[in-house]
Amino acid sequence: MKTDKKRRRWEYIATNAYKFERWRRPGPTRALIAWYFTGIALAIVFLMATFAWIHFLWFYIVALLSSMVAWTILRSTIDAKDMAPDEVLDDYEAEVLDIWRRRSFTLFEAALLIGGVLVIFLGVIFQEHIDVVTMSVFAGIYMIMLYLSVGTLPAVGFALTFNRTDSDSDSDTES
Amino acid sequence: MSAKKKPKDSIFNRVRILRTERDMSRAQLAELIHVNPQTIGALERGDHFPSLDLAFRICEVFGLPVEAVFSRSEFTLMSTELYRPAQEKS
Repeated sequence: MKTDKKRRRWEYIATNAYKFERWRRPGPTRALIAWYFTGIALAIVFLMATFAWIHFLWFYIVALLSSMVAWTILRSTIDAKDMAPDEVLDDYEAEVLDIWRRRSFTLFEAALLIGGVLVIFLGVIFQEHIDVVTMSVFAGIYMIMLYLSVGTLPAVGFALTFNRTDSDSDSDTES
Repeated sequence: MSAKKKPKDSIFNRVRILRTERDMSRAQLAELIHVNPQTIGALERGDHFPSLDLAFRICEVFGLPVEAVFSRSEFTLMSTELYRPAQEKS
């Protein structure tokens, strides 16, 4: 039942999304990835800056929306294969996703551990200077931004591997 | 950037040569065996080793037994193999 639901959901997305055929090449794919992570990085910077001046929040929203546009295009170029059921993927596609998911998981483990220790440490050391609300908001932002940065790696890795021109040459480093 | 697999024992193949002999592109072969064209590329480069099912499907396309397409040891040049028996006969 769950597999069926997952398959139908993936089929709906893959069928109805715009294909962005011209973006399915190494150069545009790298540009999309750079656009996405730059947007996320700027969003993080502006979000931190809102603690100093609240109106940086607007810049944060623009940066985040911009990165979401890049992300949507990127996922469309891979037909959302990062969320496809196993039976839809061929051997190599499944292997590539598996490798990138393991990398993503390793990064999540390290970053969450470091972040958790940091929050506890800062909360204890600066307990008189930092209020609970600020610390909670900081921790929440950290986790969400971590998800947006690291959780997207499987799709990024898939796009880098498969968004290539159909070349029969030995060198698969088309630009 | 391909996710390269570190093999314990390599599997060599003649997919590229067989494909070229039949004037078949990666996309055409990929369509026949229902995989991504980049999967064919990865197979040919040795970045990916096929499952048994995929190996059989490839062999069915070429009409050859598995040992003629895949091997644990590196294949010698087909032209050398074809020429040697002719030399030995004469």
